[in-house]
Amino acid sequence: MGWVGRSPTRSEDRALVDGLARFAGDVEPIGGALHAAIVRSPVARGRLVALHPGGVESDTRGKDRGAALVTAADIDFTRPVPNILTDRVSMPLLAIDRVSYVGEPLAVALADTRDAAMDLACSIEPEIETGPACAGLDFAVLGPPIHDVLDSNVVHERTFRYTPDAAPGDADQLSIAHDAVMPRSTALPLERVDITADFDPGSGRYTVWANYGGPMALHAVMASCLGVAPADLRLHISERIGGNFGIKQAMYPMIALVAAAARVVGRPVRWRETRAESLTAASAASERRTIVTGGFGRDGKLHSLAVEQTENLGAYVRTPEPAGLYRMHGAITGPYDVQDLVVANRAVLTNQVPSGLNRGFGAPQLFLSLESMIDRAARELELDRAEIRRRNVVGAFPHRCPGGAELDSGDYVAVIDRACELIGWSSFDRATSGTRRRGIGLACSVETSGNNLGYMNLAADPDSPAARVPRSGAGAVAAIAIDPVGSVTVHLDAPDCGQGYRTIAAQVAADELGVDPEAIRVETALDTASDGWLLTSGNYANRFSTAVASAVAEASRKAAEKLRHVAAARLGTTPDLIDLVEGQAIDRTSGASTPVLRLGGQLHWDLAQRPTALDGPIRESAYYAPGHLRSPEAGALQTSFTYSFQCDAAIVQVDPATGELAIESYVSVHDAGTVLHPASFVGQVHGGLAHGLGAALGEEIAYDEDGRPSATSLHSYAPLRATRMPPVVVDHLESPSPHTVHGAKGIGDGCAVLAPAVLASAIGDALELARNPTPPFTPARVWELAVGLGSDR
Amino acid sequence: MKRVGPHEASPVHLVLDGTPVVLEASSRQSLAEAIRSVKPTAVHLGCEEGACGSCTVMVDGPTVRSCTVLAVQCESAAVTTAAGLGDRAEDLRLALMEHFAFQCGFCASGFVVVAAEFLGGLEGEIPDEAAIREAIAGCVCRCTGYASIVAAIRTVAAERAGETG
Repeated sequence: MGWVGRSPTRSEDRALVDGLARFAGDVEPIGGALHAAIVRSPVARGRLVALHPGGVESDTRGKDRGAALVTAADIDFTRPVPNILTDRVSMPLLAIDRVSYVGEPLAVALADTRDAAMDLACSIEPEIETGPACAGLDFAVLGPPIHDVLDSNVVHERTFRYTPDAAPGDADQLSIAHDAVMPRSTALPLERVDITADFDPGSGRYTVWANYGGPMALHAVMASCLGVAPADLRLHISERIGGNFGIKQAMYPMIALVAAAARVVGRPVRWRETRAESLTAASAASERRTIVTGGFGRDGKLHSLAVEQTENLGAYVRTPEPAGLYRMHGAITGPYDVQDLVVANRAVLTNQVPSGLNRGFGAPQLFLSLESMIDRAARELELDRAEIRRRNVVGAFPHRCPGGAELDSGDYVAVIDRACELIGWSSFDRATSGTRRRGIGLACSVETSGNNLGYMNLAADPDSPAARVPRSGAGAVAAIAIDPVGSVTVHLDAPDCGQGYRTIAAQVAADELGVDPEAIRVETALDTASDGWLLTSGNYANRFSTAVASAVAEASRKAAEKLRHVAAARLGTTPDLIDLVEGQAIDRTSGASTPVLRLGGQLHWDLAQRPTALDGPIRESAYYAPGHLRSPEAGALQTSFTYSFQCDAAIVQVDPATGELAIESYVSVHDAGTVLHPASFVGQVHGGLAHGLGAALGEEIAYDEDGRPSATSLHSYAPLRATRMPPVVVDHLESPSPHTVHGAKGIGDGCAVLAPAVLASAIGDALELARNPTPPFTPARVWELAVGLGSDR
Repeated sequence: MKRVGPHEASPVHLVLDGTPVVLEASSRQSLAEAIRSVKPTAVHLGCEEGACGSCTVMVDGPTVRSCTVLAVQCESAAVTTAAGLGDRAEDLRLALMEHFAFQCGFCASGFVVVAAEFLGGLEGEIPDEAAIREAIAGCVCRCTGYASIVAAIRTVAAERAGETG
């Protein structure tokens, strides 16, 4: 039995429990750095008149020879962040003349210490002529534009129609719609952004150290903001990243800003984000209105689907947005077998922080409405909610979805059945001993893994040159080397943000080399100047178990092939007769053996040992890029590498007197193909669930009518704590993907995506609502629902 | 009482993880920052507002959030971090590893200290799950959903109860 599929203890963990684990903030990458604090807009909209210096304590100034304020005028060599939707408004690194959201950077205060820099930043008084803010999605569509140069806040509008060859014959269709607005929430990794930048005037190059997790496509965007070639922006990514969940992507304009400040002052600059900044000024999962309309036959069969989405991107289109709107595009029909599809997408700007990646990026909004619509259809048609799903999910694979996704493998009905069995669906009794109301709910989804960057072509104006550039891919690159003493190092193009990449990549390589995983060191730090990476590299979109693990396996196979050649020469046989097992290269015929890694080391010392066809010691790299991902054609996009399936179910109790919601039990059943490390698989499910439950239960980034965010600290944005997590049962089935080396698919997003829809289903059932309610399910909100106030928000 | 200006550094004497140290701390500097100036991995700062628990340390026994305590308040105190719990917490550390308790582990510095204090106060009893969850409710973990951390703590409590009982 190989190492893949087992759960060895994680090599990441010893340092963690010993209090010795180094994160970005624990090291000083370069000496002599000034500390930065960001002067930010206190208002959501207005004309920036001036920045007035205030009363910084004189002893700070006197002592602090580095104190300086870098303003927009000082960094006029930078460019705003380019985006694919509009050239007329771009996000500047520092606000120029106008401010458009609370927290927008206005200037960089620099001083010898972080405290002094913060004092300086706080002392600056921005003079702003405030204007009316647009802090709501609906108002954005109809109201005046937030940027004077625009005619409308609607910066993107595109409709896609996919008509099947033969229209469905059922004239007796029932049309069921569900309209829901998913509120904003945020990812909240515990580690905050930490950026150190240096500029070398001699070479004109920037060097940056940061806990940036990708996507690496944004490296070129940062370089463009700085007006340099990508090769002149050397980015060092830290070995450990203390959580990400997508939001650290949003630091890239700040990397460019800190680097620009370093150039201005001629010294390295370090910026450490505050928690308030991470909550208000970094990013948020988008607010989105999703109206899903299904056409059903009387038998409960779904014949047509229309999805109308309006996305609140915040004050600027920050690349890679509007990716959130398109991430699920090819698979927007979810797990359902329906070919008649219309998708109408719209994106608007508001006076809120720009939106961006969050765990399950762009999918929770879709599945909340899609699954709520299916529930409603079941009620209208008097069908069981599980049964209507069984009748409509895809049954044969591969399955081509109208949007372009090719669902690769699965047994969706078996997963639904398993979830129902574990939650006790058919024997559920809503009776309780008191006044509480008991309900059961479920929801299904497909989970994408490894995003095809061809989505950009769908988002671009079809008449623009940007739409005609072919774009495709979700690949990975990995490297493996054996050093002169026989130690193996694997290098990944995916920084680790906690998923255990070092452990799992070592398992993968160990299987190919026939050695113990402990013999393999895995490097997750990334240096853009010397390591291999791709546009699609990074820690995001479930790409590890699919693309990265496959690339590690392929690189390791190349290394194993070389080792077999060398071993064959040593043992006097041919490479095809060499097995690599338990650290030995064994001649299958004679039984003679030699330690495999020592062979690899010896190649350094005696190149004569290399077989003639080979060129040197073992240092192999491999790309893994699935051939089935193409640039979109006719609006159809193979959205991702592979597709997992999931069915979650929950039982809840609602106290109608107080609105208190108790989750009695939660079941999550997945089919994510082959499981690489079962304990990490379960950990991803639990973690994703905590993320999704947090968003469902009240982690909301709300704004008042003046565009002021309500959550400015962990006291006002209350993250889910251990006491709030329900009992969870996790199970999985395995339908291997044909597209990955191990048959693995992604698992990290699923519960973060589905939990809001599952709770909506269960609460809707408990309170016997006609329509599933919309999160956040705070006690106040649940009480309103219980007493019949506004079933829609 | 000695007075120190906001930007003046003054020496603060601590016994940090069993080792006497003298730190130069300004009057506004938190204990967390002071510890991090000499042992940067021992305490992690997730919020700097007393809400996430990652910076939890023991000060002369009980745990405190070191981001909400000033370094100068801790003159002559014995401060214990996750890096200073020594052999007595090795069973806890092993259980945390065996249960895959952490993912990114940025929060581990706090959880290890909080769990050590909780387990130390049990006196042979085996806590129920709710009690464990209550004990760690001051610490935020964004990766794991807490189940793995709870399981590890329960295992250690049971093992220790078995040994003493």
